[in-house]
Amino acid sequence: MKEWISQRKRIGIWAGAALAALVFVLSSLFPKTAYQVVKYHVVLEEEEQEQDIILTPETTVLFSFSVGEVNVSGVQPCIDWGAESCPSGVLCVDVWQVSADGEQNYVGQGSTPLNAGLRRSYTYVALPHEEMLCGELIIAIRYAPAGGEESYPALVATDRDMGECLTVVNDEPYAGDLLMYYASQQDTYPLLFDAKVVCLLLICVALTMGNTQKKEVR
Amino acid sequence: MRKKQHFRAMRIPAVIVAALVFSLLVELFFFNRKALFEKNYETSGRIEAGGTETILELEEECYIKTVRITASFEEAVDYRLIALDAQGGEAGEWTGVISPKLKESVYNLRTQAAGLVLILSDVPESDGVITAANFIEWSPYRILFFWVLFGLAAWLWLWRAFVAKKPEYAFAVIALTIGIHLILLTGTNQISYDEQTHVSKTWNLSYIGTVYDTEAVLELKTLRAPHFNNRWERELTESYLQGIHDYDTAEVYQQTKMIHYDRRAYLPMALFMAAGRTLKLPFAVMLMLSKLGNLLMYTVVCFFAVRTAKQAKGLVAVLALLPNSIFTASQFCYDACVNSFLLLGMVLTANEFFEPKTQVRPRNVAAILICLIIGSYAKPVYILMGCLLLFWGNGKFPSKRAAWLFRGALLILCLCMLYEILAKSATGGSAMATLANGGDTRMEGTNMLGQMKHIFGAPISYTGQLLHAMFGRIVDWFTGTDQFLMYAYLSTPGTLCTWIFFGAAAFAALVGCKEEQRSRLKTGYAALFAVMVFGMSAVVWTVLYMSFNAVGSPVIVGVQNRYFTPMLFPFFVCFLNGRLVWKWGKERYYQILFGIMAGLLLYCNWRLGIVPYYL
Repeated sequence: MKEWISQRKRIGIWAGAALAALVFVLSSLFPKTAYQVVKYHVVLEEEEQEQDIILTPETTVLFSFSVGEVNVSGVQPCIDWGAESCPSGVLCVDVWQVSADGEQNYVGQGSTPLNAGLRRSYTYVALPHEEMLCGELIIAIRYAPAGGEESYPALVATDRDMGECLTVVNDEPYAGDLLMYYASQQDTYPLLFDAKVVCLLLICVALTMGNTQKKEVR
Repeated sequence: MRKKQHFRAMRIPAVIVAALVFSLLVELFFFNRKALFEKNYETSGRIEAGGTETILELEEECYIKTVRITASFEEAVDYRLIALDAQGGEAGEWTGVISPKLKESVYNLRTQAAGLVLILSDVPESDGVITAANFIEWSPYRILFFWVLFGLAAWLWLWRAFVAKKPEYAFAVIALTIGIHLILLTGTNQISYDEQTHVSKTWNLSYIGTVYDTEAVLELKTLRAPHFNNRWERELTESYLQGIHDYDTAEVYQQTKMIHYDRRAYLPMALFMAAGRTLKLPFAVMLMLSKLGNLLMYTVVCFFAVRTAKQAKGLVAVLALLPNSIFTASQFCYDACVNSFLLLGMVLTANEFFEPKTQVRPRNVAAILICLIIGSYAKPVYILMGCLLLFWGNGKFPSKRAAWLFRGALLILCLCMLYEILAKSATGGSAMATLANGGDTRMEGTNMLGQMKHIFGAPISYTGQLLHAMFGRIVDWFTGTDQFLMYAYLSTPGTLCTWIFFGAAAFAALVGCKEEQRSRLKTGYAALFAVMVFGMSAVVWTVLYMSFNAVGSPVIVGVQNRYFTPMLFPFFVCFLNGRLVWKWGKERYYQILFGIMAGLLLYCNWRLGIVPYYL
């Protein structure tokens, strides 16, 4: 009986190793598309102060930044709308791609309603034509109120110019820069590492299983 | 008989109460002697908005216990406090900082003076107040220290038979009591290695999907939270952080729900943090609870390391009680996971080497490999310690073929883990890209590929540099040039403590008590362990040289002594022998070992935790 259980255990371990190997192969073949969030400048440094840029219906905030070879699928500017206000409008983001020779090509517009449940958040706005959004980008952020709003939300910015990007408010260069993330999609293999480690671990364990008595008889 | 049993049953509460009474007496008659036998008072003066100098005159020369300065500033302001004697002469000078967040600073002056001069480095925005006082203070941190001290001493004496019979329980009691004391001492101060990074990862891991970063959390994540210097500033700091720990104004963002392997070392801390948040505990208490999760994980894993050790349980306990390890286990740090699991893994590995002819049990192999894998999650380079298993004789396997297949699978496993240093499987990264562009951004001129080319271009020169750095560091530990025992930014308890620790470990390795089985490793295996320790150390130095040092740097910097903690057990195992026997009983043997380690840990807590913050 004990030998029977031991035999089955060994088969179970090998089956587990085979299953882990299968997961490894499947995980390699079918990657999961996930959002990778890049912190552009999200946390204030020592002695930096937050500034609010109120998004009245007449305000347009331009933000120019470089993302290298990454294809951007959306941006997350930091938006604050105070404790009492409850926005019901839509945040609109137009995007341009700047070619190598400096030509600005309009790509499209993304928009999202503001989440009234929160007071402040890095609100995600999906952008169209992700395949075109790489290199130097310019985004124009504005707020379209639903009507009847007493106060408007604000974009949160630093009071220090970060150098590698440019913020312009209503055609006037701004002294600071926006707090913002940008997101891109990438293929990920979340189970690959665990699958290969578990497979090799189980193989190692299975190789130490065996009937010692039989070996001695031999 | 019944009387004796009754007495035994009453021993634990009696010891607890007696230790508490003694600690209260010490607190009252020693630390409060100046308040008991000298004048108690509180004198205040106004700090004028326009000026930077304020004089506070006392009625007579008396003992000043604390000075409290309250003033508003936009930025942090330095101040100087000059004590004046009865003749108006300078009796002493102290410096401090007023945080604009706390708007208050308290200084434990503890001096005799007739007046005080306060000189500020900036003009205050509005009028402030300076207050000098002498009063009776019941410090819970000092009382707890003496309670732990007297309690542990009594426990190690009265329960010596139990301690000798079950050293793993003695380890757990000492590690937990002293670790908890350390957690309580450090509070919200960020004094551990890269604590902002570890807090950040722990906080994020405590959420599934959506993360809420309150202002208090952001301050911790960016090392901007105020640092306290005494219990009054601690109250102010905790109150300030609690005030800005508001979920309504939190920054909200999404994260992956997958827990990648390199973050699993934070799981115990994250679970306890999530529990604290769910229970709506105050912010500072939630942080301390999270640290307790780390300490509990460390204690449980090391408990099993001591318990499962077939030989030299005392050595395992001494190494598990290394002050550096107890410190990192009591803070936000993944070292607790690395050190504990690698210690257990190495203990189980050594157990097998002591019985080279006995076939290894599959569950032992599983346990060893799981421990090594978990221990290497945060620092994959340590998986190389698993290469020891390649040298198990064929007799440990069911067949010769199985032995060779096992070695092949183990080698691939080690290579897979090592590859993760260069390229993360989860993101499909490229090892060549990491090598070409990799290097710590904190250091200028780093490039892994460039450094590799430099090493292979001049291998003999690099070998000389490496050996000089390795052996030089060991000499430095014992001469005081460098400190092995470190409580991170709390500094070091001193070189003498290094000698005491290594002395205790060497004693536990060389000398065994006659009631316990003791035998030496076969010479070949001892050499193998020594080679592994040397090789592993060389790899640690080289990895740091590649990632943290500018290409062609003549010195290797960035190698911290805590990186060698996992190698201590394999090193000392080489010295186990059956010749040197302790003849004065098992009870005294363990009493000495645990007494030394508990004393050392308590001294570290006193010197680095109580003296600078709570005296």
